[in-house]
Amino acid sequence: MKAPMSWLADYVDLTDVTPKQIQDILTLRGLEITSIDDVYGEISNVVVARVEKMTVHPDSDHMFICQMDVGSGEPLQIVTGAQNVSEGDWVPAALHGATLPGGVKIKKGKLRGEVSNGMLCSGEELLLQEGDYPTAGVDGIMILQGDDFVAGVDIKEFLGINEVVFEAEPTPNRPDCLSIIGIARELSAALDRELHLPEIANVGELVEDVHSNTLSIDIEAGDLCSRYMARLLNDIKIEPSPEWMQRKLKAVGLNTINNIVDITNFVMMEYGQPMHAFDFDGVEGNHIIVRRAKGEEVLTTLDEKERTLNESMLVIADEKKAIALAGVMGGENLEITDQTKTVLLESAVFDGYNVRQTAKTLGMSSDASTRFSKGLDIEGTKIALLRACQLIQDMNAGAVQGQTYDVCCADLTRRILRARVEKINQILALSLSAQEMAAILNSLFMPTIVEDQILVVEIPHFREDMEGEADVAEEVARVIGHNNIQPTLMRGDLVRGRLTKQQKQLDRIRYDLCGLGAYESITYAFTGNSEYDQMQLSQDDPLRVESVKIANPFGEDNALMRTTLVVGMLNVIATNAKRRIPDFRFFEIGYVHRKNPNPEELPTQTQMLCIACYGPQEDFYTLKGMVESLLSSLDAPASWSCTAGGDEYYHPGRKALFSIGREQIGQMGEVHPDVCSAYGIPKRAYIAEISLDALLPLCATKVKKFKSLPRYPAIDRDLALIVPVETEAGALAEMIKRNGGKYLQNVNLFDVYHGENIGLDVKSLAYSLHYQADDHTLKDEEVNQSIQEILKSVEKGFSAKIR
Amino acid sequence: MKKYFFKRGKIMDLKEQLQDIVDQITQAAEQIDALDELEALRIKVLGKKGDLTEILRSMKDVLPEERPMVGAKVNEIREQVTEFLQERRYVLQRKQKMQQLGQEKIDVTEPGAIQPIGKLHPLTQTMLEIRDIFVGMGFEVKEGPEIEWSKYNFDMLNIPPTHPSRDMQDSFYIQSDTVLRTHTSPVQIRTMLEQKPPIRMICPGRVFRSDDVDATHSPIFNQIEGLVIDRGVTMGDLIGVLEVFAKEFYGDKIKLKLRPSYFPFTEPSTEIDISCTVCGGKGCRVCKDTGWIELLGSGMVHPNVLRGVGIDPEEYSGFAFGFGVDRITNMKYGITDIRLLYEDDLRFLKQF
Repeated sequence: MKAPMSWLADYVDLTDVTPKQIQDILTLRGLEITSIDDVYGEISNVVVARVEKMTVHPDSDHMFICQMDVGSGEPLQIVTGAQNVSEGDWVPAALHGATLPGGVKIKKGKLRGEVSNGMLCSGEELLLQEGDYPTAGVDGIMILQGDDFVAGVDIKEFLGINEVVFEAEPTPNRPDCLSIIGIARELSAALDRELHLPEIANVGELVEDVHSNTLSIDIEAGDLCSRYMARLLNDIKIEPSPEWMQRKLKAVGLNTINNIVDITNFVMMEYGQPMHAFDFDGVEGNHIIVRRAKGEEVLTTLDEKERTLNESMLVIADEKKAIALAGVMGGENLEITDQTKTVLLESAVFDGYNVRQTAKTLGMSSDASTRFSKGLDIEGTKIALLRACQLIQDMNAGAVQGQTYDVCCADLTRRILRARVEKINQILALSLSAQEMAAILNSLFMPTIVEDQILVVEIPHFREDMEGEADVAEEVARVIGHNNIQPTLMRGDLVRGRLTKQQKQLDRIRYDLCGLGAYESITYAFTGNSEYDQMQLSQDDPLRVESVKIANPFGEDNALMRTTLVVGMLNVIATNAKRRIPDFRFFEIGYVHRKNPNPEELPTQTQMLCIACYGPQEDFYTLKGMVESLLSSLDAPASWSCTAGGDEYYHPGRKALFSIGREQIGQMGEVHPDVCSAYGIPKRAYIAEISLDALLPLCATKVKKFKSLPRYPAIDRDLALIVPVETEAGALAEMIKRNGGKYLQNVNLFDVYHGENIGLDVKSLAYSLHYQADDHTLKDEEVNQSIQEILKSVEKGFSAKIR
Repeated sequence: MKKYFFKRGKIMDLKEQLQDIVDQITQAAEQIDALDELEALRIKVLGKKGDLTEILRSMKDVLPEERPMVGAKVNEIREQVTEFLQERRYVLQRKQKMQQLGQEKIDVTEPGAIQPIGKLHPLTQTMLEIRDIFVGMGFEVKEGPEIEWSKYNFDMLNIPPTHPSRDMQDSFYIQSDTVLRTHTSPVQIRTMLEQKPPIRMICPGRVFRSDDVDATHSPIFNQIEGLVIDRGVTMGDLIGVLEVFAKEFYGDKIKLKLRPSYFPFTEPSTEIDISCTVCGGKGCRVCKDTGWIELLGSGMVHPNVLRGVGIDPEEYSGFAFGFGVDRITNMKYGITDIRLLYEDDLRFLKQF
């Protein structure tokens, strides 16, 4: 909301207060002034001056030497090159030391030998246009018009361009500050200076009989309109509004249209009450009806757009047709035109939520709809209407008829709030007396008395936000100043600050993966079916069908909550690969969601880990090695296993499932080449995904028991076996382990060979076996016996032969 | 070298001869600078057929009464020579080693063989740094669902159904009663429902708002909120705790400024600004010449919120606060476009 300083000064004395002070005072009281617009602020030492005498410059055929009256008593010599100045003209003169817009400094000097103590100014030099001042656009000096001049008066003051405009951003609980008077009220309290409200003369009596021959008003939708007031004005003379009003409206960023419309806008800015003027001669049956729109009812609004309404929208109608969208915009059908003779002036309170919904649905938010949405002062409805009538009268724009129509469904009694002084002091860590608090509330125009250490506060209607003790505390706090509350440290019982087991495990995973060369990525949680198409998911893939849908997404590509981190990871791989980064490792920890079959519960949320490798050095086994290192670091049960299998977006021959016991904890594999090409990933990529919610609870947290170091030497043996080519190395190792006897501690695959010399239907798997006994030095015979047992079992199980 | 032989009655001679041998060996050894030559000399002198051995052999010619004396003398000389040669060998060995090491010299300015190491995302780094400060002040860390009941995200936070933030234009809905949480405040509600005061908790996490993407807006961003509930908690405590936080995070020179503000779930509400971290308060582009930048929103928990979760506002009071992790991260590193945070370009991530 724009608030010109000069307009504020109409209601509260602002002498000796700088714009910056006002900004700070209001901001620290909770009415944030986000900026100060001061376009003419740079102009200084430019005064109204009279050309007393003019002579032609002796050394120039186009310059004149002027003797100027600048109010100092002594004539001042200024040389000008302008051709439109004559003796007796009043002009703006920039004196020695003056500043013009753009930071231009004026200094005295000599022009072709003649002293010049300043410069006569054109409109352009003062950043003025014809709209700002009639002669500002002429080629030459801006000759001032009129006959009431005082030499030496500051030109900004003279022209009324001394305009500092504040940009105020009231918090949502203070819609009263969406008006000049509302802001002035805060300023008056803050500066402890009196608030001067416009005096509204009696412009006719008030009647509540709303049915007469001239006008009747009915509110059919009482839930959406708590008060509707109207006034009729005859003998309307449409003309431009006076210059002072135009200047004010321009300063707050409104266009000027004609006197009637300008008055409604002026009052809206002044009091915060939006108003509307109808051409009353078009009102059928002299009857105003406030009702819900009929289905598919059509209304062309003032912006010349045809709007199709629905039954949730509130309209103002006559007996035949809608004539305005209540609180949003008037209808074109009863627009004020040059021919308008009779005006119906509306001042009403409509339901804020309804107005906002209508405005949003139709995409036509306005100054009026914003104010209705945020809530209006129901007492202000009447004052604003009377103020508008008075202005119409004062400006001779029409004749006010004798009646004010008022249909009010709301209770106009002021609420009384009680708040305990002790409680407020306690919450705010202050020690104010009841009288001090009462003074604060009184200064804020909330009449307060003290009864037995309780504040009894009368709440004016412009402070509907005041609901309870906490609100009173808030008012006290902001007036005292939050910065004046002494910081303290919490007292009370000690509380354990700590991380949970799972939070510590997550930290460990993050740092371990960094240690394994991976960078952490964070991707959006949204995805869409197009993404799943790229991943080559079938239409009935659970990842697709169990996705949680967003009802109001940013487009179809962002309509689903991801069911897998792989979507994001594929994009990360693609982004980096396309930017020619040759190799990288990434990981992301994040939540995935799935529909919950139980509608009573929220969608399921699972914390997942996703790891990716890409580059010439990477393959399935480098990634698998990272996963294994991580599992070992997390003390995952040694019983975890890995079997072939996994989702469709992996290479069919290069994917694996990880399990611990019967629980599947994740999967990994090479990304399917079709998926890679769909994402534009040029080389092979590898991805692993692990459910942290499944894995982490299974990881050991018991205190480990020390096992004494081996005291007897170990024996290592290598065993190369020829097996059918499809044999799984993991299964074979498992069998070796099972049959190797109690001294076999470790089985490690160290070589895989496949070649013509052993036959293409077989391969050679070489394992190193580590034997160790706790209680004696192993003998060769013991190890030999174990090897024999192993050979027997693997021959039976896998047709394996020693190489 | 000439040969020496013992002659009866020539003891004095013998001593001279022996000294002569020692001198000659010492001289010879000092000129040798190869280990094998030194070894050859040792064998020549001390070996089975060496000079000294030969002298010893000629002991049979010495008078029996002189033998002990002569023997002792010869042995003394032998030890002396042995020790000398030994020492000489150490010197040569050390010299040879130095030579060898000299040849093994490498160019230490060549780059190291890089062991790949990754980094945490800047958002996580900020989040962990903030988290650890609060854990140090006795706070627990809580998390909650990203898809949340509207009831927890709005109603119980004193945000009525008619509030603008509940419009479809501002929040993402799943159904009318489920919403992508617009702040992590519902985690505060869940904590208060589950746990009796005293409560000191922070809740980091992702939040969602229907903002169009641009340099400063993202429909998904991260927050850390905090909550303290106990008997007698005051606004002074709120300011004190957040001042400790700001000084830990930004350094002791940081100044705080509070501005009254409005949030439906706190009252009084206050916005905390800190002196600009770039210019220190003099005014610059980052703080738009004000000297201050916005840090967080906070306030005393609204009695309606406490009542809603079954905590008696007459007995307990508390405060809550919330940061935007993305904004603080961008401010800290001077990142000018929030979108970079979610693009995961390695060249970006490597910088932090």
